[in-house]
Amino acid sequence: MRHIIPETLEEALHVIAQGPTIKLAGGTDIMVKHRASQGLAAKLRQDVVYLLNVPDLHYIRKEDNGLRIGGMVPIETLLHHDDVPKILRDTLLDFASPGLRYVATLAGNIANASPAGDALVTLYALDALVRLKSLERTRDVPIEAVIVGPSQTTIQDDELIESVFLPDASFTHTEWRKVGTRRADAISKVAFTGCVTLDNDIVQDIRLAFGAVFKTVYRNRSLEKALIGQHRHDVVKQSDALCEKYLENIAPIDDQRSNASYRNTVTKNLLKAFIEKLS
Amino acid sequence: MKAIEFTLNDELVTVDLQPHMRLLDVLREHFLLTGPKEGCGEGECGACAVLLDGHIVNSCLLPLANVHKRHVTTIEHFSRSKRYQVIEEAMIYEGGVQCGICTPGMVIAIESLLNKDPNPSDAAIRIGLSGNLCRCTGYNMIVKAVKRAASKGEGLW
Ligand SMILES: Cc1cc2nc3c(=O)[nH]c(=O)nc-3n(C[C@H](O)[C@H](O)[C@H](O)COP(=O)(O)OP(=O)(O)OC[C@H]3O[C@@H](n4cnc5c(N)ncnc54)[C@H](O)[C@@H]3O)c2cc1C
Ligand code: FES
Ligand code: FES
Repeated sequence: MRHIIPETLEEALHVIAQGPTIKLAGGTDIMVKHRASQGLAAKLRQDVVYLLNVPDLHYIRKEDNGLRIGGMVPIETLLHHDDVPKILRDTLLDFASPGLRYVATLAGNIANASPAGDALVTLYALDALVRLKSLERTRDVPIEAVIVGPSQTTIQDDELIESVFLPDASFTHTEWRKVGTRRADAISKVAFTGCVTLDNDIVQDIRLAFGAVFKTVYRNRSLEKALIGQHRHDVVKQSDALCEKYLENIAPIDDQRSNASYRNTVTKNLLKAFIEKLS
Repeated sequence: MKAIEFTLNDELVTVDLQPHMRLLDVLREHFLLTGPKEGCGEGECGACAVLLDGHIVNSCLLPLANVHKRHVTTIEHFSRSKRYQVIEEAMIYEGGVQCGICTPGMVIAIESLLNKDPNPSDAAIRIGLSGNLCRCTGYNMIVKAVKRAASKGEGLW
């Protein structure tokens, strides 16, 4: 087994081009998942490439129409960076604890592909584009096409997440809610991000994303689209019907953290509260 | 694999150990620095906290490779500083230490917090300590100790 600590992105791309590897970022998921007995190295059974300290992946840069965030920027840095959209900073404040945030990364959260990944809920709402890079190609893929199910992504062996792009958006109102047990370390039972843009009381843009109630983060663009162009009061009047439609589509599970019926109820309450704020 | 080198408690060290060992085990078993403790081993309790470039991290989750060329400080070294003395006095004064198992990690969390925010609000203190569990004190005494350290140690952070 080889262990490689690349010093440049180029070097990292050469390494992953040679065959399957474990791409290790902060390790906050990997080291728990592959934990060995005390004193023994983690149970990693493939070549490991350590990406966390690759300088090329540590940048935050304004581009035309949006913000690009290098894949290895720690969550803690994003939390305190003025260019990061407020709704994402609100979300990341609920992400684990300061010690974890200092090494955990957005790329790791994306590639881990948990239906309860906190950052993911807001990245879905922000229409984030994930830049996947290999020696041969660079592709910018919408986050919902990167994540296909729990721990399943369309990232190829020879690709890594180089950065995440957040298209500019100016919302009138945004909201992040995380329902869990202990704030610092609790994995969400249900998480919600809502963003809306009103112009003269007419909905111009609305995005509703839910975590931990489906096999991936859940967003329904056709239900959102149907609300665009409506007066905010008319949207409020439909709040119950809208909640019903979301409940028909989501598919929460029972697990050790919660059960489906609780998750359904919370989903409904979070959505209803958000919609009713438009009144 | 090249050897991993990092600055440990102000000294440059080079180690020829498996890169995917946990920093916690390397510190405790190789360097015999037993200040960082294993509580949960899963990032939940903060007993294993150390400073990485001055910021708190959980050494039970950190593969050794990730500290290559970086600075690690454990409670053993931090306890020789003036800042430590201020935190220690405040913890004793406010009754922030009972059984003591969480204390090394708690002190690291306090240092990391004050380093960024020398005058934290109650809310900021609770966020700063949110990764550190204490089974004895009920936290209020520790929050008070942070306030006391911040005011007694004015100018140090
Ligand atoms: C105590 C605790 C609390 C937590 N709390 C939260 C929480 O509140 N909210 C939350 O969402 N998560 C939480 N997590 C989960 C975890 O911290 C996050 O998912 C984190 O973002 C993972 O990032 P990482 O850099 O540590 O990833 P790693 O563990 O290094 O990697 C995770 C996955 O991503 C892959 N990967 C990493 N980088 C790349 C890349 N550049 N390209 C392709 N693949 C890559 C890895 O191969 C692996 O499959 C918690 C974990 C712990 C242990
Ligand atoms: S032992 Fe590391 S957080 Fe509990
Ligand atoms: S003093 Fe006993 S756990 Fe904190």
